[in-house]
Amino acid sequence: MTVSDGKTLPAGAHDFDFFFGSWKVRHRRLRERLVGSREWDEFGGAVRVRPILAGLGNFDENVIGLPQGPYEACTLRIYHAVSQDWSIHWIDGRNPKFDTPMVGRFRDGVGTFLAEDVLQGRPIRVRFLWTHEGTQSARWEQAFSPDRGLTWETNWVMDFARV
Amino acid sequence: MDATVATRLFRGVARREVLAAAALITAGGPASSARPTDSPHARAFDFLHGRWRVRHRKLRQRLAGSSDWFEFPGTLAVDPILGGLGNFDENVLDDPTGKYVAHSLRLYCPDTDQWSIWWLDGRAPALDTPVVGSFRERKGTFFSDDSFGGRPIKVRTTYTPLTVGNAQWTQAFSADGGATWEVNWIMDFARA
Repeated sequence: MTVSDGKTLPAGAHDFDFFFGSWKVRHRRLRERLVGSREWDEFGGAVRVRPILAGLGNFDENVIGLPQGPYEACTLRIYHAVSQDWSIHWIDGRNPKFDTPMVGRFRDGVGTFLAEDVLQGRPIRVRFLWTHEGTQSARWEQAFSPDRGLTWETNWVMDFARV
Repeated sequence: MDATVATRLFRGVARREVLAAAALITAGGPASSARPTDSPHARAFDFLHGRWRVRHRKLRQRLAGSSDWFEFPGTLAVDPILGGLGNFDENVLDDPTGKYVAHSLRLYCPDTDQWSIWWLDGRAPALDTPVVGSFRERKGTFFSDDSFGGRPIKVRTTYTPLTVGNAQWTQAFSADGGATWEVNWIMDFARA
């Protein structure tokens, strides 16, 4: 099919190609956010990622192995050829809906995606960082900033290893 | 506790859940949003899961009094996601103006007992306003407000399971606030 011919895609549309396929996930999550906590929870998970939109996006399905019990979540990532940005939508299976997407792009091997949000009544900035080594390992980090990006607290890390 | 129940009850993980968890703590614990699958509406799209051949019929011009239709084939593959509280599909549309890929994402909202459906066109991917609605007497009807050629319109889509192996989808626009409707796209699904 001509529309899925990789040669016709903008370069940035390939940024997440490394992520296609199946991964084991090690989650490390700060127990409390923006209160100076240093207690981390660790648990396992799995994710499966596939290209969509003839290469202009991808869709993943996560099983997140919380110690209390697993749940599912999906991510929809769409590449916008004009702005050369990705928008990343996280859908929580426990209450499926769309919130404001994370928006950003890869530069020098690091994907940085930002959004404004609210945490317990106060405005925060949210940041995703994506790094990877080839197609065999990858890391995602989430951080919150209470001061418009001046300082960041990382509160969730996912390390991906090939199944 | 089975995984589905656990899925409904646990909270406090993603950035979104922090907010939800705060609300739940204030409210005294997991509340309304924690009981999604009790409603039969939550399973309303199960009939669509799987692989289909599609016959598309599209009105050549919309809201212009046209009665000129054209036809083309396509395929549809629908997979459940989120433990059944949603589904994601892939359409390949063999449109005479050029073959393209499109996806629908359908999410059941336990709070409203309704489905929201987003259409992602591979030629210009963007997440627009979803159509929202539910099934009644085996027919699903979904609405959104949109604009067409600069004027506000209402959009209505329907899903009707006809037999085990056949179903139909329609799309109609209304330029008069829903008083009159013009159907402009019909998809007939047959099991592949």
